[in-house]
Amino acid sequence: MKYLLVLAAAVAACATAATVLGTSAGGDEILFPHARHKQANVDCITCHEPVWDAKTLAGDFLPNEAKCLECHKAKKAAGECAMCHSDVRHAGPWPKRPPRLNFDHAAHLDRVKEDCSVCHKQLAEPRKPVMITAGHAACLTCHNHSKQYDDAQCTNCHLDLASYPLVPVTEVSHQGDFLRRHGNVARASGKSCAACHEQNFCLDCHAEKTVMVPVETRLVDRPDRRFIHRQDFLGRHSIDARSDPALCQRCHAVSSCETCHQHERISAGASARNPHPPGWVLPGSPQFHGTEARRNISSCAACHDQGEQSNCVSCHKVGGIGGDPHPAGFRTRHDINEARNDGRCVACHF
Amino acid sequence: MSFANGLRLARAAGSLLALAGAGAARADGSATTLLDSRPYVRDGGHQETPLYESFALSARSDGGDVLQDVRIVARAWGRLTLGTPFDEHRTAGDVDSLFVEGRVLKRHLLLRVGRQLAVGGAVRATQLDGIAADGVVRNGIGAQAWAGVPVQPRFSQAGGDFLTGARVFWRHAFDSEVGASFVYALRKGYIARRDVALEGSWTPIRAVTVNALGQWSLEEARLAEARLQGLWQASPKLQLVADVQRTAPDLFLDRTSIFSVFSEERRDEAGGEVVYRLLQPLSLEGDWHFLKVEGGNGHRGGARATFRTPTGGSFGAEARLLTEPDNGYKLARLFGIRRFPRNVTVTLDLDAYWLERQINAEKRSFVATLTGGWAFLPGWEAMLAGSFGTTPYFERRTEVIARVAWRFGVPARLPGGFR
Repeated sequence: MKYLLVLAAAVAACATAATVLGTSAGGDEILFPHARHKQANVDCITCHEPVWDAKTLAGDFLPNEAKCLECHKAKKAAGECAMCHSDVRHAGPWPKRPPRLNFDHAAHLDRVKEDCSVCHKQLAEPRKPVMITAGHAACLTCHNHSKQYDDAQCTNCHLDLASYPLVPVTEVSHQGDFLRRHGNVARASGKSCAACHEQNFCLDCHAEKTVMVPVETRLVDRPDRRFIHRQDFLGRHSIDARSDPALCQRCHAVSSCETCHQHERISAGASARNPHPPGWVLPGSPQFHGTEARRNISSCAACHDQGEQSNCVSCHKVGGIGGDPHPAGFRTRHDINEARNDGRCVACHF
Repeated sequence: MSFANGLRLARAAGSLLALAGAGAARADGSATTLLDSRPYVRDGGHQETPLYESFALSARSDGGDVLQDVRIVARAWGRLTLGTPFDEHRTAGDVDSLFVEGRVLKRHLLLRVGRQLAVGGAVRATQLDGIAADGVVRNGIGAQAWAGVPVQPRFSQAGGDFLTGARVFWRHAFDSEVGASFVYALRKGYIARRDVALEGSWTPIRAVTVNALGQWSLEEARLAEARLQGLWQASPKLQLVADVQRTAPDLFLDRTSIFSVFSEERRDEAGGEVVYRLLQPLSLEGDWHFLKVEGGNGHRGGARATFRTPTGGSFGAEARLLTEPDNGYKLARLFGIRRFPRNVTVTLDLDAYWLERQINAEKRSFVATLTGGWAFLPGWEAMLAGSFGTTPYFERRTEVIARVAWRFGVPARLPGGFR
């Protein structure tokens, strides 16, 4: 039942998204040759008149069909729809695009003496889309904007950085083994990450508790990306874990190790065979479990952490044959009188 | 999760999504169907074939006078296993994220409610069902705070689970920030973590960034982790990184675990990394670290060359080495992404490693993965992958993955979407 509810919520979300968007992504493109119109001495203002007074990018600055028909009425009457529409069967108006920048055309047109080409160095042609401005280069020629860029005051211009594809700039270098380094940046300056990345991007890897499949499975067609668990990680995971136990624990709770080990029938109580080497229970043996536990306790916990039912309790409880398992100095930091309120202590001491 | 809890979740989701529908100016996301046929580990003769459906949504609105920059983010999935299930459950599902956030007080304070990822300082990166606040008071000085219940798989939180944390910071610029933080976590009513941390990221000059972090366990009165890292972009072609870190791996275990009383480990690591972009499309990378773990020393190192084509293709080779006192491996990889006309993409990944000592009576592993993808409509993409090999756990390993994804919204390719 609970899974049905989750799925129902997902379906509701899908429907909401479709409603918000209005239509799905269409295939029609309006084929507007800027160069030919310029040759014919058609001024920008002829088609883009609303731009002249626009203080934001929220309006409709592209001409509607009526504007086109002022010149091309005969073509439409003759049924030559394909002159303007790449997909006649799904012909439609220019798609609505939400504004992504704070930009005051009215103010800027005064500064450039109404010469649009100061910023719009190149214009799109049919089936040859281009960026209609030169991006940052167009803005940074102005001292004010150059200063804002240097100070990383992005939101003066950008409405929503998180909706941009990731393009790391020098200051936020993602080169090299950024996968191992990114935690340092995120913990000290998480807002820098959030400027470009949605939480769902982070959760691709950090949703360890709720994960659908590992990100390496989901993005199996991205061999260029660095992933921790790539290809046959299973076969070498014990070596990686031994070399850096905290690396596993940063993302995975011990319970996630145990879940998998139980499924694979190699966990305590479920094992058909003992995975430990000879001498595991013999004090003085080079393979003695006590030595191994001191060196890498996370490995033990990965199979044996069953609270009071953990098999270490039977031998190491007070009076048991295993003796005191605490490391040196443990008692100086832990008062036995406080142990009555500590769930870990109760299993052995009371 | 009980029926009542499920109903509450569905109602909450419905309310949030209704809000999205009413006020959102922009929305994007993805719906993905994924089939993964893979072998059992313990019994290689059996394949498991789960079918997944995943949905991600991010809806944004400029908001009104009081609440601005409103955003609703959700991602959830469901699974139906064909044939014998791996975990004895034919169906499963979960919610990765489901939160609404917005800014108040003239955008000075960000509030977020719901299932989210809490990131910062001592909190590290923790999935949380709860609330978060993040605000700047003045001159870059501000505070963050989190409170809620740490997420458990399939809503299986126990009574007494709780986490709270806070961080005060001074944000000098987007790449220079220092902070102090604490985290306090309970598991079944007992203390699981009680840490404080100091951390900072500073860019004194444009080409140099220094990161530092120190986290102290109040519960054990010991250092949990400390890191210092310097990054120098010596030229547009050359980047150098040096770092040193110390961790206490046992302090990454919950303090509620009975195993937390058995060991006090220490692990040190020091090394560096170099990235040299010989030509614009050719990147050469190398790294090496010396490891000092309980019981001995080890090394971790590697080299990688990647060539990117103007058409979006990518070809690379990689070699890696890892040694620790008990075992080690050498790894070699070749990979390529080739883009063809008509939005067809083919990738190949050849991965082999050789162990120092046997695991499961084997010392080598080889896996090859071939994928073919086709973006057959705007926003739509289909992909088929086949993976074959022999590994320490499988004499013959075969995996087939099929994926159909629909991405909607503007722009179609989002960092926060499925990709």
